[in-house]
Amino acid sequence: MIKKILLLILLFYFLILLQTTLFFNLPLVIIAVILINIFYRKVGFDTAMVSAFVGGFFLDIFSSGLLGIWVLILMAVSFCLQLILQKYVRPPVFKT
Amino acid sequence: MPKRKLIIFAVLILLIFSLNIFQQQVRGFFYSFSHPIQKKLWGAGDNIADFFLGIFKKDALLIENRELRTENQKLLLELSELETLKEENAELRKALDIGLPEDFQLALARVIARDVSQDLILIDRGSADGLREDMAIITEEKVLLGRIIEVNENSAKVSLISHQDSSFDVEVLGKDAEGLIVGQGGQNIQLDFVARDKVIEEDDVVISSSLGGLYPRGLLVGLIKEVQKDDVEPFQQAEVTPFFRLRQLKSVFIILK
Repeated sequence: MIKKILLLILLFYFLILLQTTLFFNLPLVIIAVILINIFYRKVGFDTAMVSAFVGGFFLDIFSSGLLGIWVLILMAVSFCLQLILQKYVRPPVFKT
Repeated sequence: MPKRKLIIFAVLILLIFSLNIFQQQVRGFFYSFSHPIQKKLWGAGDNIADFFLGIFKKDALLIENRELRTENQKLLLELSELETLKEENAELRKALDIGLPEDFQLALARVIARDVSQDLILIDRGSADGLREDMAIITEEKVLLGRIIEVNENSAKVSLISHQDSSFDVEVLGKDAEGLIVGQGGQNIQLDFVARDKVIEEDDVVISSSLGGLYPRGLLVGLIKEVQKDDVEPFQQAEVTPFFRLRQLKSVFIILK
């Protein structure tokens, strides 16, 4: 898990640098968190929540609001997404 | 979600909220080692933006190109007239023995990033270079950008005039009309509180006024785009296109005095 967290930190640091310089009209970090959540079956619930936490932390650092706001928002969004996806979305089953 | 994990996340969130006590230091720490990378990426931004613009807006670019050619010809004509005026002016100055003093004491800074929140930018000079909060930021063409709202040791955060919390006194050049520029967010600004009896038109130039004491007088702010006048309202409003182009910003000047 530690290796995964380190990878996520690197990924989100890279994304936030891109968002604040090259692609400042694209919310890259938020998109990444949502994508990770959508593929939760592959990455797992914990990874999805950790990615929301790390992504939110970097958004907080590189914005001028209160530290922790983005962490809260992204974690709440991730949690809700996980609930919806786990309860109401089934992966397609292909018959051979 | 197991109770243990929930507690860990709750503790981490609390820990981050407690970092607000040292907010400036924490952000300063991250900014300090992100500087060099951000500076390089910001510099590369133009090429990438131009590349995508070329793909998606080919037709619009062709029209713009045609318009620019026409404008260029007009400007060349004006330039030749101005050259004559310049010579005349120089001769008169010589005759009267006056010299314009330096307008402001300036310091140069580079834009390194844009804040995640709208209408805030980061520059590579900080308290170590003598920067303080509320100092005005302009471009080399004397276009007003905004003011410093946060100073770290080697960087500072600038709130652009289009920031939603920004408002300051302005006047419309050559029209004897005064008003207030209010930031709308998303690099948009609006001219407000202009007396109804004043005549303002499209393409009028808006400049800063020293009335509020926030900015020096005479800095370029923007061009009036559309005037909204209502018989019932005591004031008229106007949409203003700011002169600055965020993507093209590389270096800016801080007015020290």
